[in-house]
Amino acid sequence: MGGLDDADRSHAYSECERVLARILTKRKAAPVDTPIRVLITKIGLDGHDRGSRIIAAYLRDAGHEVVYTPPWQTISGVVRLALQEDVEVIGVSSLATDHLIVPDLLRELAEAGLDDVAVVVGGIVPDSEHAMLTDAGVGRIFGPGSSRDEIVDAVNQLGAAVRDRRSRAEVPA
Amino acid sequence: MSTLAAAVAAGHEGNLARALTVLEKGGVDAIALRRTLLEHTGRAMVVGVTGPPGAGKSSLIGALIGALRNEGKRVAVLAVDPSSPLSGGAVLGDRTRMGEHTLDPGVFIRSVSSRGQSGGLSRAVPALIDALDAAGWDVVLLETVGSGQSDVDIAEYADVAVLVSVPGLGDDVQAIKAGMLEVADILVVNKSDLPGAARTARQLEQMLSLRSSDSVHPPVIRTSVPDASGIDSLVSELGRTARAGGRLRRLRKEIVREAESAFALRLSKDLVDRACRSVLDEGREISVVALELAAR
Repeated sequence: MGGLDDADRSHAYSECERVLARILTKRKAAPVDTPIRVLITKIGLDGHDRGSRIIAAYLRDAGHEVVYTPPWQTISGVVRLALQEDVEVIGVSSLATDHLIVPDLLRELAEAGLDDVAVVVGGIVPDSEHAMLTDAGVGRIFGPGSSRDEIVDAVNQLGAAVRDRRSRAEVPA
Repeated sequence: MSTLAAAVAAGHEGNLARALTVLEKGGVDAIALRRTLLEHTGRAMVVGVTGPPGAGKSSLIGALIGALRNEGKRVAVLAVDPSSPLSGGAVLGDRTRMGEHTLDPGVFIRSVSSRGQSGGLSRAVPALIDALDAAGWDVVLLETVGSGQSDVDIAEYADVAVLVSVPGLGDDVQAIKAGMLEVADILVVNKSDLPGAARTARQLEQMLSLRSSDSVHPPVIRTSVPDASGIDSLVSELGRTARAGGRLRRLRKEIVREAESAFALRLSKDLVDRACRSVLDEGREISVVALELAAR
C-alpha cells in the first residue's frame, strides 16, 4: 500500500474518530443508573406554560426523563399519567392560584397508591400558603428567582429517595 | 420478580408500569421478569408508526386509539422520543397529542426515551412490547422517534408497519428512494386536508407501480386527523395487512441487534487507538482494520 497524502490522512483520521466516538457513546449509554422520571405539568385553568417548559429543559439537560404535558390537566388525569409513566417526581407549575388544588392532587395520588411520588411546586405561591402545601405533603416549593442548580439538586435528591424506597418493595401497592 | 410478572399478567396497571421501568433499566431483574412474561405473550397486534418529525404520528395515533376503542379493542401505546446525546435526558411529549384518552381505562400510554439508541426505538422496546402483550392489551401502537427514511427496524418489530408522510416534504425523487418506503406495509399521507395531498399520494402510487409485479403493493391511504377522514380505512387495513409470527420475528431481530452491539462494546479504547494509528501511520485500509477488530 502506497503512502498517504495529507487529505487521505485527514480523511482516515476523521473516519476513525467517528467510529471511536460511536463506540464510546454506546458505552456511555449502557446505563449504570437510569434517569429519574419526572412529570412536569399544570393543573387548573391557567395556561401560562413558559415556566414549565423551561423547567422541562433544565431537567432534560440534567439527564432526567421528563414527561411533559400542556396546561389545563385535570387532577385525575395527572394521577393516571403518573401511574402509567411510573414517575418518581411530579413538578406542578402554578402562576395563578392553581397551587390551591395541589393538596387535592396529593390526596388522589395517595388514593391511587402513589403516595411515594415526590411532588414539588414552582411559580407564584404566597408565603402565607407555603405551610398549607408542605402540610399536605409537598416536598419543595420554588419561588421566583430559584436557580437551575437549586431545582436540579432538589429533584435529584427527592427522586433518589423515592427510588430507594421503591427498590425495597418488590411489587408496588 | 415472578410476583411482579404474575401481577402484570393479571392486568394490574401500576404493576405493568413498574415492570416497564424494570425492563427499561435492564440487568438481572429485567432478565428474570422477561422470561416469565414471555410465557404469556403472542396475542397482541403490534402496529409500528414511523415518519419524519412533524408528520403527525402522535396525532394520528390519537385518532387510531379512538377508532380501535370503537371496535372494543384495548389499546396500549409506546411513544418513543429521542434522548439527548449530551445529557442522556429527554423531554417526552408525544402523549400530549393523545390527551383525550388519558382517563379511558381501555387505553395505556407509556412515553419511552430512546436512551442513546439509534434507529428510532430504544433497546428495551421488544421487552416493553412483551410486557404489554402479557398484560393483555389487544393492540400495541409503537411510535418511533421522528425518522422514517432508513430506520427500518420498526418493520421487523411490528406486525404491521405504517409509514406516515405529509404533503410538501419533497419532490417525486423522494418517493423512489430506498429504505423505509420499501418495507412499510401501509403508506399514509397524513394532513391530507392540506394542499398537495393528492399529488403526494399520486407520487407514492406511481413509485409502487414501478415495482416488480410479484412484490407486495402496500395501500396508500390519505388521512386527516381534524377532519377524522381516512382513519377507519386505516384501521381496517391494519387488520387486513398484519403479518403473523410477530413474536418470533421480534426475538430474532432483537438477538441480531444485541449481537451486533456486543461486538462494538468489546472494543477497548486502547484497541481502537491502536487501530487508528495503524491506519494513520502504516497506511492500512480502514475496513480491514475494522474487520480485524470485530474478529477478535
